[in-house]
Amino acid sequence: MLDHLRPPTPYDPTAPAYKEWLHLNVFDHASGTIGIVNATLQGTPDSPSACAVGTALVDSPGIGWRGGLAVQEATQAGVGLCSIAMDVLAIAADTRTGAVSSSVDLPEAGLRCVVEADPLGKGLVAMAPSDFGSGWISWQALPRLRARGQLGACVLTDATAYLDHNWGRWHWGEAWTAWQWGVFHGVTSTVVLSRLSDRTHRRSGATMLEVRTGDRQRRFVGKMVDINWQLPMAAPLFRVPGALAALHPDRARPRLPRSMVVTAGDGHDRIELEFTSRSAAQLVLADPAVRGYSFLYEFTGTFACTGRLSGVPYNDSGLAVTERVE
Amino acid sequence: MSSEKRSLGGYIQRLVALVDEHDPVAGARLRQVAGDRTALVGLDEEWVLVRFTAGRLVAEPAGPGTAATGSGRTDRATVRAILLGRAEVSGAVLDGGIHLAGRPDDVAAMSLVVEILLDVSARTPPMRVPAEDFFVGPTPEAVALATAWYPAEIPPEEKALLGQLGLLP
Repeated sequence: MLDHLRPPTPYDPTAPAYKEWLHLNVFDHASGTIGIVNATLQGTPDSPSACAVGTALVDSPGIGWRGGLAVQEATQAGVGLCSIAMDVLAIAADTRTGAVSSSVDLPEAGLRCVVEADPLGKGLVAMAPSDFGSGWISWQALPRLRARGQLGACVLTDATAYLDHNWGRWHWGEAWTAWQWGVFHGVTSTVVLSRLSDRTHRRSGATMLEVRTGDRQRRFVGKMVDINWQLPMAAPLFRVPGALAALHPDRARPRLPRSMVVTAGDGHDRIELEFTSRSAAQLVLADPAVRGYSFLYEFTGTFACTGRLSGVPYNDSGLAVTERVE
Repeated sequence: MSSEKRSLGGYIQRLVALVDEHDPVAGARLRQVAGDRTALVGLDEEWVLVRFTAGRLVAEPAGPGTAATGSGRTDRATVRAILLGRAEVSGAVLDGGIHLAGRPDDVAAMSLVVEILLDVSARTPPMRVPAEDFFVGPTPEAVALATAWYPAEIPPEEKALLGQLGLLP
């Protein structure tokens, strides 16, 4: 069902640009709590600069962000068929069943999480390898899982999850290493959005929006999809890791979007989706091989959408996470 | 951790040694920026006088009044809050959590040395271990807004002008 991790072979000349991660989003619809857990491997696997990066962020209404980011040498991380285990964070997926488990223990950041999830529905969302920076990126996702466990103090009672697996070769900070992305979990449907772009977001690359509701599934690509971000958002920005955030004071107070409107249609089917931001976090991404930095913004919030799929009216609302990389 | 590594001087020496081991070019840049300057560094109640002598880092215990080209003082709580993303450097400077003194060029040189260390640490995972061991302490409270130099909101006229010039994202 799921692909396996794809580390570079021993003589791969592109190994210094290697990056691969497992990314888990958890939505507790009862409380509005949203969790983001990511385990990344980057750099030539046996080089001193190669590292495993674990990120765990939990945003709860009225409380804000808890969590942080941990880095350790890649040789000290446990890497399995489809699993990455660090000292403080782990994500594992069963490639046959799609079952996912994750644990987080960040006492310094005051966050502990344990999540298990099983896929709902069938099939992956996948994108063919696309040009990205000086290299390429590829990804696939399990768009919706039923989740149980705990995110910090929040015991999951009505929770869903999303898992994706990204891999490729590029260096952070290159001109064409940016994206806009989102996963939207409604009551009856799941929407996944992805657009690669340059870092100014003025030129777009591969674009995809996929909607799954009941037994209906529809994908819109390229110019069928229009994305508009609307400013400004007035909320404190949580920046991690703190050391790299201190290196980039010019990024301390960016103009953040308060909402995103996505429209997609092919003349028959259509969808209009509006995402409203609640909280924002900035992850400063440092390349392990060359001096380069990118800035990944995670937005948690809510969404509402309407449209028509296969000739049938469609509307839904729920929790969502969107990303914008610069 | 030994008492040597637990001292501020030991921690600074350990950081520079890791830079020299993993990124010799950055190590040379550190020495070039520092030149013949001396820096009085204070953390909580501990002070060290830091300088490069014949290319070798010297970090010796000192007092708060020790003469130096430039000085910088902070505390573990401020550093932990910054490392955990709970505070910004600019806010810490404005709020007095970080204090820098010296002529502008000397303060700029001290800041650049710190930036070189932070930049190298991004590609040198072993540099994180000394920091994690040295700055242990209670978890800071939830996100604190950095003290702002300018108001967060911009006037409608400015926004309209930026829109006319096509400078809004």
